[in-house]
Amino acid sequence: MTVDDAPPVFAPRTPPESLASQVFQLLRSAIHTGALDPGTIYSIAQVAEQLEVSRSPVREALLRMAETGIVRIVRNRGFVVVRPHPREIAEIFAVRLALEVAAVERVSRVANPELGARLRLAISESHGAATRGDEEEFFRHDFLMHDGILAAAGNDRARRIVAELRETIRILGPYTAGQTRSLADIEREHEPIVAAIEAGQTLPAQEAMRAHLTHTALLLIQQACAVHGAGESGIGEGDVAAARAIWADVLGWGIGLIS
Amino acid sequence: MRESSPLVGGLSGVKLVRGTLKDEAISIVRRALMAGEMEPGKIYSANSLAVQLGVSNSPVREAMMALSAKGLLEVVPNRGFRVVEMTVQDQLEVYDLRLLIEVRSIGRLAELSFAEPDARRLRDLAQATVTKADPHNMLEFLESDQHFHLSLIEMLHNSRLLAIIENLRDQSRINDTYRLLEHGRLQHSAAEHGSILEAILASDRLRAERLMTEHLDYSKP
Repeated sequence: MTVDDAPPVFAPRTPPESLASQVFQLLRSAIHTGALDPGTIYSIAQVAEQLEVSRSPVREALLRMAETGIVRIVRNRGFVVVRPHPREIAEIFAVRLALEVAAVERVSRVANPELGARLRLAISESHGAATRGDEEEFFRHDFLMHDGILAAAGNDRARRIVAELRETIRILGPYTAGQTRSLADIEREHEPIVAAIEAGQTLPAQEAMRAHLTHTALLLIQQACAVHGAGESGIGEGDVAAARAIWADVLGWGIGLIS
Repeated sequence: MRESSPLVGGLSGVKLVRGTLKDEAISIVRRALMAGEMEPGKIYSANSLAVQLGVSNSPVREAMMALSAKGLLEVVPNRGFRVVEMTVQDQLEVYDLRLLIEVRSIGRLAELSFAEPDARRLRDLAQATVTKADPHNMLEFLESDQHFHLSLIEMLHNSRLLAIIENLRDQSRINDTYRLLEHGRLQHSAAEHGSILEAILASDRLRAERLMTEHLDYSKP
């Protein structure tokens, strides 16, 4: 993160925000890869030193992250990466359900083969990544598939809200290692969503999106229950039941619960 | 070349003394935004605002950064912060999202059962908006209106949802505070709160959602 060359004389001055943005990106990917461990307190001064920047862009980047709930600032000590609680995951998916089911309804009112073709590309890439066990790529293409639908639906704010919510879920990434098989299963649920968009079938499209998000949510909540639980390895019967109870409490019985 | 940053009206006499300074600064700047005391397009510096409030720069700057992250202000590099100007497209997006999220949340509330103290508290909050429906004191009305609506959403115990709805409500008001007044609908809008609440308490989901949809009509661009 050093400045190698002096900028050309007439080039616009780089606004100070861009340094904070770069730090933001670096910290975010460190969280995704698990290099920054949830629960550990990191000092702002140390991070600044490591990145060879002053403290203030680091502070600004962290304030932005704290705003979206990815990190928590610990007064006078530094910051921690926040590991989402099982209930918080249910809360996030409740919002995603509202936004993404509505979005898929909008894009499937008429047959939409162009969008379908673009989404199919993302699906095949994420399949490949899941098979190789490449989580980074898997998440990237999974994101592109969901984001493609939201973008086509035309509400940029909805798109940004979902992208931010996904950031929080993304912190769970390291825990899904060893779960890629079930993630690949869930990934297969993208197929009926895309098929319904291509054919312009609104109700099946909504149903497929609802089923997909519900399955994903339940899986992630179960994993979080297992992590927060008494340290036993793997997902137990108790975690499955607990996840369903949390889901029902947040969304109400009968909404999206699939037997 | 730097023009002096305009002062924010209504802040005189307000001094920050307790709580976390950043949170207080957020609430003061937010109120100034909602009341239309900060004009869209003008650039406000954290420094001059801090001087006005009698505190150091950094909590005010952090507060303005936080409001920028919420889409209410925009960072102007090296100069300060500008009130976001909402285009018609922006307003349509916010309205659309409120129909999708806020109306549905009101419907979901109708499926819950409310303990008597909660029901009483919510009825009091609805009544307060009627009492405060005075066109000469819009800020008080807007605060009580926000308090009533967010207290309803709080009953869903979903902190993400609450934060998103709070932000959408703020965004739909920015640059737009006095529309209720212009339409002469202030009293009417306040009276609707009671009907929405009663539909929720009567577990009538469809009616609650219909009334909330009608209630949002005023924010339709």
